[in-house]
Amino acid sequence: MFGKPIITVNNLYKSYENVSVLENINFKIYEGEIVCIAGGSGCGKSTLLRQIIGLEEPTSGEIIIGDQYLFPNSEQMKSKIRQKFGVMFQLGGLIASMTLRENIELPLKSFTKLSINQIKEITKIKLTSVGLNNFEDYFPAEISGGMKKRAAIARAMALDPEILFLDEPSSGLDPISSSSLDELIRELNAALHTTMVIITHDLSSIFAIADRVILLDKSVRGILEIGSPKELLLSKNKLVKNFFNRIRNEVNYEK
Amino acid sequence: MISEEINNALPFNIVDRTLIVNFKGNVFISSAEKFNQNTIKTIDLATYDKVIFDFTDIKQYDMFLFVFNKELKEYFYQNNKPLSYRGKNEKISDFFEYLSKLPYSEIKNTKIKQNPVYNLISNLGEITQKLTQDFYLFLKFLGEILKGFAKLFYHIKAIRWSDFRTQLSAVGVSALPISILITFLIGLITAYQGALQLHQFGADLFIADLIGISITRELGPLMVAIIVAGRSGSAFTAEIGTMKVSEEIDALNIMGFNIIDFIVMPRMLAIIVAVPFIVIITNVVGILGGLVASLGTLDITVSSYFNRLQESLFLRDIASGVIKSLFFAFSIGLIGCFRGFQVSGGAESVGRYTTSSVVTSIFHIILIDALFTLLFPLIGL
Repeated sequence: MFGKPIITVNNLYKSYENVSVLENINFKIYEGEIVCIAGGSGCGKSTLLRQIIGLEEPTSGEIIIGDQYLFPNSEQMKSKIRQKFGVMFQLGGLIASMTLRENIELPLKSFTKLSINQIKEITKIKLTSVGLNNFEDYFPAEISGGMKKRAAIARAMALDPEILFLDEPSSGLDPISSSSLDELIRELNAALHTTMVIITHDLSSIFAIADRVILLDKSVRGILEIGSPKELLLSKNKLVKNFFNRIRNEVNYEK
Repeated sequence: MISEEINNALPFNIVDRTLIVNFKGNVFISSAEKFNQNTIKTIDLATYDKVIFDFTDIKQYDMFLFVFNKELKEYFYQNNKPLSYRGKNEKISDFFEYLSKLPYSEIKNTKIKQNPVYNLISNLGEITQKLTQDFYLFLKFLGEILKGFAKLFYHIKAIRWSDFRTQLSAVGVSALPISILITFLIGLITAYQGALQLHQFGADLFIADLIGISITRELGPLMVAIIVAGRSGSAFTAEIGTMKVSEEIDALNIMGFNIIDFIVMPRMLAIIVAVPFIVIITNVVGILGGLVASLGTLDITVSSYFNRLQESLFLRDIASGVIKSLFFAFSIGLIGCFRGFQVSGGAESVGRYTTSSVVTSIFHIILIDALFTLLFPLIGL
C-alpha cells in the first residue's frame, strides 16, 4: 500500500547524563504514511522526534532518511537532509511580527529561486489549502489558536517537504477544531502524498488519522507496540490495554 | 552549466507544427531555477500551432509542477495555442484537480486599505489617543505604587519581602562592580581634563574641588542612574513583560494576589534602597579615580588632595547627589515596571517595550537632573 521506507531507525538509544530515556528503538516509516508516535507524558515522544529531525544526536544507533544516514554526518549534510522535513512545533513558532503571508513567503524567498509571482501563487495555495484564505494579512496575534495551528502547518509545508512532522497538533484545541485539523491532515496526506509523523497523545486523533501507531511507554523506555490503531486496540499487552482503556470507558459511558 | 541543466530539465522540439515540451526528472520547488530559465517563450509563435506537455519522464514533483504548468498554460492560452497532455497519470491528474479546486484565486484582502489622507488623519488620531491613554494609565499606575508605599506604614506584610532580597541583590550588589569601574574611569578622565586647564593658572590644588563637587553632585548619581536603568530597568520590563505574555500575571490576579504588592513593590523598594548606596560607594571611587589622575599629572600629594577636599566638599554636596539618586531610582523602577505591564502579544512586544523602558528612563533621569539643578539653589543645597 505504501512506498519504500523513508525513515529507518535502527537500535536507537538515548540517555541524558546516564539516565536512559529511550532504549532499543527500531522502526520504519514508509512513504505516504501517516504515523502517530503516541504514549503518555514523559515517555520520550518529543525526545524521539528531536532525534529524527536531527536536533539532538542519539547516544547510539542509526537514523536513515531515504538512503542517507542522519548521524554521524556533517552539519552541512544534515541541513541538506533536513530540507526534506517540514516541522510544526507544539507552539506553532509563527513569527509574531510578520503576517501569515509573510510567514509562509519567508522560507520560499530565502531558500528557493522561485519568481515573485510563483511565490505569491504558492503562498495563496498553501493558505487556502489549510482553510485560511482571506487571512493573508493578519498577524498571528489576531487569529485564534486553531487558526494558528493551521497557519503553522501551512508554513511547515511551504517548501513541499517530503516528510511533515507535527508535534502535538491538537494540543490546546477544542474537540471541533481538533477534529477539523485531523480532517485537514488526512486531506493533505491524500492530496499531496506527504509522509506525516505526528506526535500526539490524543486518542481521538490517533483513530481519526493514523495508518500506524508507534506506542511508547515510560516503563519500557521505548516502544511498547507498533501497529494500526485497530491492531493496538485488540492487543493483549496490559500496558497497551491501559493506554486505550480511557477511550473504551468513554464509549461505555456513552452507552 | 545552468543552460545544460535547463536543456536536460525542459527539452522541447517541434514536430509537424506541434511544440512538444518534455518535463524531465524531479520538478521541485528547490529546482525552480533551472525550469524558470527556460527559453520556451522565445520560440517564434509562427512555427507551431499546438502544444503538448509530455509528463512521461517526470520522476517526482511537488506544488511547483502545478504552478509552473499553470504559468505556461496561461501563456499558450493567451497566444491561442491549444494545449494537451501526454503521460499525465492519474496521480498527477488528481493532484492538479485537488489544487485547482481550492478557492485560492478568489482571495481578497479583508483588511481594507484606505487612501493616504485618511490614513494620516486616522494615524494622528490613533497616536493622540494612545498617548492620552498611556498618560492616564501611567497616572493610575503611579497612584497604585504610592498606595503600595503607604502600605509600608499600615500593612507591611502585604509586600513580598522574600522577593525584595533577591531584587536587592540583583539591582544593588550585582551592579556594584560595573558602577565602580565606570565612576573610577569618569573620575580619572574628569581629573585629567581639568588638570590640563588648572595647571595653566597654577591652580593645581583646586583639582580636589573640581573632582569632589562634580562627582558627588552630578557625575556619580547620573552615571549610576544610567547604569541601573540599562541593567535593572530593562530587566524589570523584560521580566514583567514575559510574565504577562505567559499569563503568569493573570494567574496571580485570579489567585487573588495584589500584583503591585507581589511584583512591583519588591522591585521598587529594592531599587530605591540600592541606588543611594551604590552612589555613596561610587562617590568614593570616583574621587579616588580623580586622585590617581591628579598624582600623575599635577604637582600635588595625596595628603594635600584630601586636605583640600575636606575644605571644599560639604555634606550638602553629597546629600544633594544622594537625594537626586532617590528620585532617579524611583523613576527607573516606575518606568521599568510600567512598561512591563504594557507588553501585549509576544516576544517582539517584550523587546519593543524593554527598549522603550531604557530610553524613557534615561530621558527622565536627565529631566529630573535638570529640575534639581534649578531647584537645589532655591532650598540652599
